[in-house]
Amino acid sequence: MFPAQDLDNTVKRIKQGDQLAREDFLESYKPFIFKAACKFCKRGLDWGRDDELAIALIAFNEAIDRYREDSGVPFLAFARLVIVSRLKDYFRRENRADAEGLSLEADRQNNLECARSWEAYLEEEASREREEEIKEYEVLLSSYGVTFEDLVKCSPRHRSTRLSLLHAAQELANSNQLLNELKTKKKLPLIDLEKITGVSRKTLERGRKYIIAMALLISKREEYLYLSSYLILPSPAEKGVPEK
Amino acid sequence: MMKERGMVVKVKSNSCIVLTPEGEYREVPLTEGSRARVGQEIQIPQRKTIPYFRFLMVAASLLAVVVLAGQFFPLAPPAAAYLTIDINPSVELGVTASEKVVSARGLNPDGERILAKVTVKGLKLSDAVDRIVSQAVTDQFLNDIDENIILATLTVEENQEPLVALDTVYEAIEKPVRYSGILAEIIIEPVTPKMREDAAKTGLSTGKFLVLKKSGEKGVPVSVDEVGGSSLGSLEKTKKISIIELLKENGINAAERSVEAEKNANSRKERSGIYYDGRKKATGSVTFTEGKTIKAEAKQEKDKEKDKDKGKKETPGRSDEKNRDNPRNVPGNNGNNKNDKDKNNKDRNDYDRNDQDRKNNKKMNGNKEDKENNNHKNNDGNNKDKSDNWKNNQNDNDGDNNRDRPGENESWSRQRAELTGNKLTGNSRDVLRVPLRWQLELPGINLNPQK
Repeated sequence: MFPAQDLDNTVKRIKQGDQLAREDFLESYKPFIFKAACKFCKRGLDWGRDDELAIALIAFNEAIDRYREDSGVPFLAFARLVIVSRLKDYFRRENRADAEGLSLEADRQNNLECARSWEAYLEEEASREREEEIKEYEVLLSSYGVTFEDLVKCSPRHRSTRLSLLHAAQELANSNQLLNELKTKKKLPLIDLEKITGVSRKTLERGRKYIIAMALLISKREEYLYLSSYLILPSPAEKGVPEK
Repeated sequence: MMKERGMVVKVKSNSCIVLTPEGEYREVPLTEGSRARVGQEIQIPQRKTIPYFRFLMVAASLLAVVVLAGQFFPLAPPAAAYLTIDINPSVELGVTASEKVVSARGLNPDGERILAKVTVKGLKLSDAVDRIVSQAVTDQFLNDIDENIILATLTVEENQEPLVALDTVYEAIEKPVRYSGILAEIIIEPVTPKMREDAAKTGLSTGKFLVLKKSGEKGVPVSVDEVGGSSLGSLEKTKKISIIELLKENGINAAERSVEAEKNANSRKERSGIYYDGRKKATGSVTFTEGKTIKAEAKQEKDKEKDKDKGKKETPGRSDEKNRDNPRNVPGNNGNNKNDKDKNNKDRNDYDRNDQDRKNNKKMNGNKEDKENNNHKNNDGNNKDKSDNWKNNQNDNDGDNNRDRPGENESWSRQRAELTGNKLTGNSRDVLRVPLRWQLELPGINLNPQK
């Protein structure tokens, strides 16, 4: 369901030298790279025409090699950071090349030092992004009348209940029709959910806000990279046990 | 249990909300000094058990508070009346309206010692008194050799019935004394709460204070130390006074202005307190076992009682005649017919007759001057007769009555005989010297004869 865990495994395999997987991986994440680059450049780009996209692709490839699982940053977020910073480098170089010409070589001199500070920068950047992301998420939730305090109150304590609610949230996020209904009416289509998941109406109603929050998070998982990849969601096989 | 981690999604003043990888939102208290930043991953302190622990702590402290409060502020209501007992150990019991003992206080060292041995708090008053007197017997405060006087006082609010009937108190004192075979004089005296306060000022028990006061009125010089330091029995001996006589005087002047005040004193007096000279009674009834304590006076009484018994048998007709005479003085009295009927139904209850006799006597009071004397005598006789009946019943219970036991049927005729006897002899002193005994009609007594 969530790519986060699979992604980590894939990245690990690529690192170990699976070139074929790397090709596939790069190919499948071109849309992501495209999105990230467009967002940074604040304009529409085109494959094969703009250098920025090529640089972003190289950066993404670099991110695979540089990524460390223990950093606490999800891979996609890390990759995006790398892409953005490389694009920044690129723009800076363009401007400087116009002005000074040869300064590029001097920068390469203290490569080691540069790399270390660059990592520190990435880390800082990552936490800043994460914070921003969470705040954005909070704003999004508040538009549905949900606060984190509410979620504390209604997030189910029991694993089985939580799983069935998460299952409901996934179903909701995967169904465009239901998701649209939620977005327009700002209300949960409880009856439909009950039909789909088999979870009792009462349980759904009690965890109403929780389902909304989770469904929003899942449906916008590419926006909320940090949050969504932080969650270890049940695989579709491990469906929530319908509560009796 | 492994430590959980969570991502901080919101920071509040002293707690933060985290999202766990399992998708659970939790509010986690922030420890002092550690500052969480949104997006940071923190360890969630284990607090699964803490709520229960806290709950237990709260429950335990509440329990402790309740228990402690219960100790310091007992829920028992304040004492509504106080009963003091002076044997020599003087004790004071606080009694609630429901006759429960709520406080017990030794008024002298002996009293404290006795209270240390017996627990009386929470008991019924009669049980508590029983225990104290029994303990006093066990500890030889009451014994065969000394003059035993048990003086009890009960505080009674003015114009009110005593909270605890005096006769229950009397029975509670009398029972253990009787079982132990000890001869004792039992006095129960109602006092006003003010009296108790005055007594408390002098440091004496209310009973002893009463003795002190009365002896002062009588002109017998008794000091506080003498009263407080010795038992009433020894006081009686050294001062050559009778405490019973002393206390009986209480309130008499106001109650009885008649010339026959002295004669009436006995019957009237019993309306304010209970005076039971058990020493005399005992000598009268169990002569041979207690030979050494026989008093000349007691013997006389016994003889006199025998005479009376004789008189009863000899003069039944006369007593009937007398009985008929009385109602004739009050024409139209309903009791007239009834008395005649009673003559035939001798197994009827004595009380009715006694009451009627008294009624008749009262009405007769207003009649002839020369009859008044007799009436009073009759009155005395009635009362005495009742007490005789009572005593006989008592003796029946004891099973040690060696005299002829007049049955219920006989008692009525006995009463008549007595009346006649009195009339015949005209010796009122004889009547007075008959030991005064417990009366069965006490609940109706007027406790404030001064009113």
